[in-house]
Amino acid sequence: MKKILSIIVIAVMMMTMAGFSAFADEQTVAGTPRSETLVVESLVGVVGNPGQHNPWMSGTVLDAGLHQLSYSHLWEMDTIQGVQIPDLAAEMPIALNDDYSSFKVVLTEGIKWSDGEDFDAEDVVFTINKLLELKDTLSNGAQLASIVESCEYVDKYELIINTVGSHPRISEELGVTVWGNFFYIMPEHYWKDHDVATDLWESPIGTGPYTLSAYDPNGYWFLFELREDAEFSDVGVLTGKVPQAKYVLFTAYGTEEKKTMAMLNNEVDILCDISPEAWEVLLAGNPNVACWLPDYPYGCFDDPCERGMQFNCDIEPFNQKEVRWAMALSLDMVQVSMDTFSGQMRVSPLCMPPTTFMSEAFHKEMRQQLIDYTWEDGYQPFDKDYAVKLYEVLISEGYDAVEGMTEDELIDLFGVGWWKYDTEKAEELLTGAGCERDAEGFWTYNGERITFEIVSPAGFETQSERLAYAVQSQWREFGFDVTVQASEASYFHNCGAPGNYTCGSYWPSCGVVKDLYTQLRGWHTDYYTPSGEVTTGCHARFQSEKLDAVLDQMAPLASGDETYELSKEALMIMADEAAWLPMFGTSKLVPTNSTYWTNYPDSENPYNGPWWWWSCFKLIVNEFQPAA
Amino acid sequence: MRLTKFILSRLLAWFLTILVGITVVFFLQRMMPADPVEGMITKMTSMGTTLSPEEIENMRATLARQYGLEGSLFEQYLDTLKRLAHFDFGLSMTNYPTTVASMIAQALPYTLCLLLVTTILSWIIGNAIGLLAGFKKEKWYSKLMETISMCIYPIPYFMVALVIMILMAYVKRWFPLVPSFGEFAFSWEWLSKVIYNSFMPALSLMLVGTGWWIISMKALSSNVAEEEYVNYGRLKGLTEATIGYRYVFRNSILSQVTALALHIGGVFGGSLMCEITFSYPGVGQLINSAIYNSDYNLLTGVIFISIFAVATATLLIDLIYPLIDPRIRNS
Repeated sequence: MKKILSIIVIAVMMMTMAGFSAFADEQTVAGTPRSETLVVESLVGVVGNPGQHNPWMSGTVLDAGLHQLSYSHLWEMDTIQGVQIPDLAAEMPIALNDDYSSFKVVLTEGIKWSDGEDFDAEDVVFTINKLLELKDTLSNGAQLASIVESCEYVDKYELIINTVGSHPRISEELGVTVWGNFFYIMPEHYWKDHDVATDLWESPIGTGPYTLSAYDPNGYWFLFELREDAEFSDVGVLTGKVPQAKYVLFTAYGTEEKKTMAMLNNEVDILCDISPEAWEVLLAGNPNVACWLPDYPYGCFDDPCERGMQFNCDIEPFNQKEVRWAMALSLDMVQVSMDTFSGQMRVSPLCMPPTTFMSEAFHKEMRQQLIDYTWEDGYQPFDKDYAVKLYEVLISEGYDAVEGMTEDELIDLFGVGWWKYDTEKAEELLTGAGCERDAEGFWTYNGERITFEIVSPAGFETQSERLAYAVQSQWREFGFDVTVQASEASYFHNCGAPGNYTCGSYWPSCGVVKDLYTQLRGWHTDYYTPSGEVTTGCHARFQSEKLDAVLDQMAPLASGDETYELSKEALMIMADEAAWLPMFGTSKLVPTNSTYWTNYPDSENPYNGPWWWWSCFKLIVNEFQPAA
Repeated sequence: MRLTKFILSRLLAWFLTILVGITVVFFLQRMMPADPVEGMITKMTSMGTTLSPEEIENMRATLARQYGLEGSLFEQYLDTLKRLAHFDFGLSMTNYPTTVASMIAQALPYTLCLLLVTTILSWIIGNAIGLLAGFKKEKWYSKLMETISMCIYPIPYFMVALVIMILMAYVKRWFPLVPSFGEFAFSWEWLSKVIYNSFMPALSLMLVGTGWWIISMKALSSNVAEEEYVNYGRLKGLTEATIGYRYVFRNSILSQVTALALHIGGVFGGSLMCEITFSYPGVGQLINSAIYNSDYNLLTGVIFISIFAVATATLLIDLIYPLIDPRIRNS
């Protein structure tokens, strides 16, 4: 018996050691040499259907590398300049008529699919026709059918796209602005013999510099290998060079503790988004990690969506703009910032994120207008000193990295300002709107206590979750019977469209370009539906004739100076009517590790934004250098 | 005749348990304020993709058609029952068009391997120690083992799991933070990978699981050890080993067998906390993903398997109990 037991123990130890030795050889989990592999955290986590790579199927997960490295779009985004740039298309679309319903699209010559076939207009025409044909079967087809009516092949590198009605911003609708776009081009030579609706495309073909070479059958990692002919990929043709990392491995690490441990052990080079606490641990434990900014506040504030509190404007008393304004004025935004992310955020009073580019285009541009903004009673609600006040708090709490900054630098860093913290004015507004305090000091409306919940994410979108608690605490102090309803994703994301909420910690304003029509059109009253009915427009149920008029003016115009001016007008109307309460741009702590790779983009070398989960990642990887 | 009636009544209970379970799951999901179609659209827009209202309207209709959410609730319910009767769980909504059956088939073997092995090993070790602790409660080793189990058992599972992971995967780097099992293959290489990658989750489950069996067996065996027939056995001059095995162990183990059967039935539901902590690709991860994404079909499929397994385990126990316990057989 003892003998048998000994044999079993030795066998188990040997088998375990066999696994152990593979791990100890500085190899990745996919078996590639660590020094030749860029390891990136996969933002989407574990993929339930890892063998499915057909981007036209609704259930395909693309963010584990395919979207970033293999597939490309007609137009990409320059996240620093805030403009679209040509990619598979050689130039921006050319309108062929005055009502912007027909466009000439010229394609980039010399790009090849990863199987060696030429990329050309036949592929684009085939894609459009196929998606239109399958509009009742594929969600991408349904989406395209609401934009494109037909297309015509002109020659190998030119085609004409005819749209459904006027689409002056066709490049934004069929190209990338934020993250990516649904319009992926099909290689005709493959799909003419396969069914787009059912074929999983297990060995995908792309125009990007990498191809999928292996994946974990359980969906934990995806390995991409540099194409042998990467000079013919879109990145190779556009930039004249190819990436140096032979492999890129996207791995799902799961919980934050595991991500942090992995980076401390140099098992991962790039993480997508971590909390300030995890960042502190990384900073203290690994000298090779860095973030967007070299010092406090470290994070990147250029994510194109902003966070804040959105009220359901159907619900009393929040249907009154005075009440929404009172909610804003009862918040000490400096304290909210400290309570949420220790001040590591950029504030925004406008319904557009305060990214570096958008801040220049809107927030700073409109700062004087905000300072001068005056109500009928002569009250000026804007607090231009927010950044200075935050600075004082930070200094008093020992954040020495900001010491000595000028006011302009502080504004650059922490934002142009927010609304005043003025509880007296808030009281006045609430009283004027028919609210009064009860015996316990809580606010009432029509004789009933105003009791509501802030719907917030639970365990994801940490910034919004923490923001909800920070705001709730102050509103409660001011006399609102408010609680936070932290909810998992399926519930949280389903409250908005049917209007099943009173207040939510959401991020309804996103944008990266100066023409805001595409981002704001959903706020038009045309898309209003009462709470209880699902809306396709803004979830706030906000209605404004003034805003409608501006949006109607913008709709038929191509992007330019006029749409820019109208965009500013729209933002001022939304601020004046407190359409929702934007608070902070999204603050992303996106750590990089220079043990194996260097030349990551950062604030001192901003050749691109740190958007590892966007389609522009293929251009970012192209700049990475192996560590000496 | 009496046997037939007994078996039929148990089969009816088995059938009703499954039917009621599935019905509750079906309606509970639809009562939840979460809609897979809206979830999919929001997932796209939350990434920053801007969809025009017209695009959203078109997508909404197409997705509802794809997910089988057209028709009245009752029609959907009947359709679900019809499909489940043939073990057809439909297509996953989040991983469309992957079948739920294939997702379960991928995850279930991992869960079964891990949880069956750890459950049975914990049961054997825990009961052996518990028997000693209950039957020989004055011995020093009994007290030591009881003390250890009393110390480990109340520690929350996630804490044990985290400590194991920090020590073995981060500090010592003996094991990977993210397991990789590779494609299934009949080879020593694959088997070694499975053992290597399952070691930390198995250890954590064993540590916590064994504590419970020790405590419960100790309580049972110490009661039995004080029964009069045990004293009678001693007076008759039987050896302690004989008394321990034939009188104490056999009388104490009955309820532990029942508990083991229920545990084994429960194994099909996976171990959510363990699988999330160690990134273990089992059924618990599927449940987590299904709830997170309102994937009705996936959740129904996984819970159906779990209900079916527990109900069937209970049925089998009911049917084999008379074979183990003569008192039931003779009653």
